[in-house]
Formats: sequence, structure tokens, C-alpha cells
Amino acid sequence: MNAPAANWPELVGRWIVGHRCALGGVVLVAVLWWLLLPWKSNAATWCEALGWADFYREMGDGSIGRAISESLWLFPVIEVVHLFGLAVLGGSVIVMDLRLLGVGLKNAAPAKVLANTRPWFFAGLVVMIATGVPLFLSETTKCCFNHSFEVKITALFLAILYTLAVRNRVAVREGASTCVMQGVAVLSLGLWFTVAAAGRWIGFSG
Amino acid sequence: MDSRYEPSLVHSFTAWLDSHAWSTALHESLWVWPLVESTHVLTVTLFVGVLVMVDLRLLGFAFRDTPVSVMTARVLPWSIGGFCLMVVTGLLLFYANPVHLAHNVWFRLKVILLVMAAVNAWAFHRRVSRDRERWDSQPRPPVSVRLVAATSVSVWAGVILAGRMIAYNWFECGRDQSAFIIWAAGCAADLTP
Repeated sequence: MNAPAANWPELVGRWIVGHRCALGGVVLVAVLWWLLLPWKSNAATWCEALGWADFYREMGDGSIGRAISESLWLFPVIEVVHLFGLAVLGGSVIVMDLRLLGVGLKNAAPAKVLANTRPWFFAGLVVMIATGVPLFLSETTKCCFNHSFEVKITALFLAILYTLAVRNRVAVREGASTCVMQGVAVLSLGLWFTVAAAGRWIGFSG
Repeated sequence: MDSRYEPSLVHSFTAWLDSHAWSTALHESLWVWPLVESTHVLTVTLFVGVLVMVDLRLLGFAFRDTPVSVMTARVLPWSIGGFCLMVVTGLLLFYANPVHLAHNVWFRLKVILLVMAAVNAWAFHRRVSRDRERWDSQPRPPVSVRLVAATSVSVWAGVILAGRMIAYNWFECGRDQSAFIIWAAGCAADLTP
């Protein structure tokens, strides 16, 4: 069937309808950022408001935290390994989400791409947590009063939950619609981007 | 300045860049510099992360039943896109602080590693153009291909290491440094104690 030549408002409209799930994902990420960014005001952090500052300080007073904060090179070295983890975790997330978006390995079944990226996702995640916890222990008091840190940790929990409970399930489900897969991928990329960006911003703030 | 001291070409060029008002503006910017730097760091996922997935295929550790040609045609371009973003943000970061970076040993190490990565990428394309059809669908490509992939992962890890260490001033000119560091960082005679 040959559709009649459409004018541009109609083409834009069709594009929007065709990408409604992806656009919905963009809106959700935008809402998330709109909720998160005001935290960078003078408002108290959750850690502060809940009165956890002493608890955070005690965590940092342990042998691991002190060893790192007293060492000249331990923090940078752990941080470099943290970045290695970032590369592997990010790469596996991107390759999977590109497939869900219908680009990249678009001719392979999403379940197959997931089976190949999932071990590297977990490898990257384990490296990031194993290095992230010591980095946190070396500057717990700074983290307690740092808005970027709480944004990062909140987004991290959401991203892990979302990846395991939603994205990976959609990837293995037979016959998930293109529209749903795109929306799921956009939200995944948005969540992981928030984790990484807020994580980098810890160093710039407070 | 010591009259016997002849500034190197690198020093003269970077000092000229440093004299630009835009270089200073970028260096001192409250928001633009951190945003450019963050983009540079986060693009590690798109560039190195996606490249690692291709390298893992070449090593036979992932996507073993996907032909290498599919990975290089469908996945590698995204990594190359990330690389372009890396170059743009990297040049901006260099432009913001050229003299300091040109005399930073980690930055110099990073440049050497980048050249090594370029040679390795060239070796890969030569290797691929020779007889890819023979091993395109092999779960585990020949040892020479795996060697190139392992070199790629190692060298880029080295680039990340050197890049991160640029921020630390342990080997800065002007501090009490060994003769090796003064040579490696190209410290000016009049800057050394």
C-alpha cells in the first residue's frame, strides 16, 4: 500500500507516535533530573537530616578509611580501578540498550545480546562497588554533606533494581514490542548516566 | 629567565596557546570546564567500554557466535563516535591549560600510549584486511588477533590510568624532583630548584 505523500506536521506527528515509548522515557528521565537537581541547593542532605553524620564519621574512622585518606597514592589508584569498572559496566549497558533501541546489534535477538553482556555488566558492577566502598570510606564526612553523593547512591539503587527487574526481563521476553524496548532502553541509559554524572560531580562539589 | 635557556618548540607553542583569552576563560570557568571534563570522563563508557566489548569478541570471551565483521560493522562505529567526542573534549581541556599539561609526565605518558594505541589499531586493520574471512565466525580468533585485542585493552587501560593521574601534582616541575622527572617533564632550567 502506498501512503500518500505527507506534509511535515503529519510526518512529525507520525514520528512522535512511533517513538512514544522512547519519548516517554526521555520525559521520565527529565522528571528524575528535575526532582534531583533542586537538591543541590542549601537544603540538608538526607544524611544530615536523619542525623547520620556521626555514624558516617565512625565508618570513616575504620582502618580501611584511614589507610586510604592517609595515603598519597591509594585513593588515586583505587579511583583508576573504579574507572576501569566504569568502562566495562558502561560498555555492557550501552551495547545492550543500543540493541533495545533498534540500532547496534539490531539483527541479533535481545536475549542473545543480554546473555553476552550480562557477565560483563556484573563484572563491572562488582569492580565498581568493590572500589567504590573504600573510596566512600576514605571521605565519609564529605559524602554525608554532599548532594551529588546522595543523588548518585539513590540513582544507583534505582538503576540496579530497574536493570534486573525490568530491563533484563524485557530483553529476554519473546515478542516485546519495539516501542516498549525503546522506552526501557532510554530509561536505562538515563538512570546509569545519572549515576555516572552525579558520581563525577562528587569531586566538584563540597 | 636564564639567558642561556632556549624554550623548546613545545613550550613556545603552549605558551602561545596559554596567552589566549579563551584559554584562560575556559580554565577559570565555573561551569564549562567541569562540564567538559565530566563529558570527557563519562565518554569513557561509550568509547573504551564499547571498544572493550568488541575486543572481548576478538579475545573469544563474549559474542562468540557473532561474526567479528558484525561487531566491527554494528558496534565499533559507536565506539568511534565516542572517540570523536573524546578528542573534542580532550583538545578543549588541553587548550584550557596547555603549558601545565605539556610539562606533566602523566600527560606525556598518555600521549605516548595514544600513539601506541594508534599503531595497534593500524596493526588490527592490516591483520583484518589480510584474511578475516578465514576466522570471522570462529568463536576464538587466531592468536595474533587476540594479541592485538589484548594490547588494545591494556593500552587503553593505561590511557585511563595516565589520564586520571594528570590531576595529581607529585611530579610537577618546580618541586624538588629527580633528574629523571626533570628530563621526562621537560622542566625549564629556570623552573628547577
